[in-house]
Amino acid sequence: MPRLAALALLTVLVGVLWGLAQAPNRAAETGGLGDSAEARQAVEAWETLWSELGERGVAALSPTASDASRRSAGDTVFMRYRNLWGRIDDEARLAFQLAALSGDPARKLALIEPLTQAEEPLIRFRAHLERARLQRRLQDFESARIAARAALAVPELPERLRSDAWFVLADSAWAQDRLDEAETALNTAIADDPGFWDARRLRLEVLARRLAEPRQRGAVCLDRTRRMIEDLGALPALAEDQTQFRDLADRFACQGTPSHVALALIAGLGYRWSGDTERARVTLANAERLRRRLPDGCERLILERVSGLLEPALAPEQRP
Amino acid sequence: MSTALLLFGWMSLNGLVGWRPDWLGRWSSRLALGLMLLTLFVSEFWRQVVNALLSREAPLLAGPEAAYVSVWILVLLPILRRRLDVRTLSATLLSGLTAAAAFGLALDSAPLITAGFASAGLQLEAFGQLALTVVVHACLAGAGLAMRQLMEAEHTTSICEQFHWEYAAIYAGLISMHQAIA
Repeated sequence: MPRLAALALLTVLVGVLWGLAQAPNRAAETGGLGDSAEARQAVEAWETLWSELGERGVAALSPTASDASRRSAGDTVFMRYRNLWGRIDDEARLAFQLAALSGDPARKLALIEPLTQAEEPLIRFRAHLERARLQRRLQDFESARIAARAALAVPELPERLRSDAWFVLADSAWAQDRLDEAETALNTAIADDPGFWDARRLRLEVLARRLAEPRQRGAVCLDRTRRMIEDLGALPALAEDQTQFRDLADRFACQGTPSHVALALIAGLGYRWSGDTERARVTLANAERLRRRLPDGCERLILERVSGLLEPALAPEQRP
Repeated sequence: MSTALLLFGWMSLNGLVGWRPDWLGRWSSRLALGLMLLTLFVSEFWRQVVNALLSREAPLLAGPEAAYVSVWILVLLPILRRRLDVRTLSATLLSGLTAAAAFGLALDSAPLITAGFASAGLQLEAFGQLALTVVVHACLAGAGLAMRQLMEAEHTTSICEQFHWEYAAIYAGLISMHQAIA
């Protein structure tokens, strides 16, 4: 047994040594984020984002509409779908309609409650999700989270429905200051449905707060910044309203002093994409003064991009 | 680099015991124990897992519930048989730690080889990646099992006398916990 193990280890060792010899300088490749698989993935995704931005501009960030029956925004989750509840039975539909028409939250809950035991998974899911939304509106965030989790636990659902349940879960978690849970839920919601406006808007807020937290890993910091840029680029495209760039940039540049370089980059990009190059330049130029609030490697990579954005703005022949 | 050194250490210990069992004598079990603990402390993967736990980031390993119950049943067999003495407990603990060390070493070395392929201009396809990972895990799981048996060498005359079911089960459990997150 030990002989076989030694031979097996020899092959692995040779492979590792060969790998090390082939790529002698990989720590430099990840820009000081370390040499883990996580760091490499984060840097790779970050570079891909910027090369796409360089090629196609903001258009690279607008999500492709894969599913025509889903709208990107709606004031309640169920208004985002067309023809969703076509094959629901009459009794359940009447209960849902009565609940929707009732003005009294307690009566709404009483009408929906029995439907959470329904046979049909779609009805059960809808009942749980309606309850989660009601509790959310009544500011009972704990019950809302439990109901959203129950909705997500319903088996045999079309995948496209789940992102709304993740969103309600994230929204209640955000209201309870459980940023960790909110972030995970929103990442799942957006991965399921890249065109979900509300989820992207909420994720911007969550990520901005998460980035300001101490003791995060460099790779995680870089991933969060990348997701913020993706959301910033996607939101106005989804709402078909380019003025949102400016609103979002104003939001993150509040009183002219973003609290760390990632927010400065986001605000700068927002101004730049809204067409206000002068303001973008000022915001980005200020980023240099906000050092030492994020992990070193992450900060360095962000500042590289910031100075990359500043250069063409300074070159006289490219000025409009 | 530390991964290569650890692999070299594991290989030379296994090789020495395999070809010249009497050279190391009673030291083999202590060396195996020490090397296993050193691996656990130096391993990049386990350091990241601990960091993630401390800083409450997204975890790198799912909880034990991610592995199938049938896997843990193998670990719990002695309890089911009501053999609850200190020896069983320490044997299971040793198996668990050895499996964790071998698993961490496998996870540290697989990306190094892949990166070597990538920078040599050979892009591995998804299947190639999977095959490479499986091979590395198989090698390290075997080596870990050999190390685990070295730790027993003091008590038994023949090294191959006992097959450590709990080692294999814990290694499989670690793989499914890792898969559940990825």
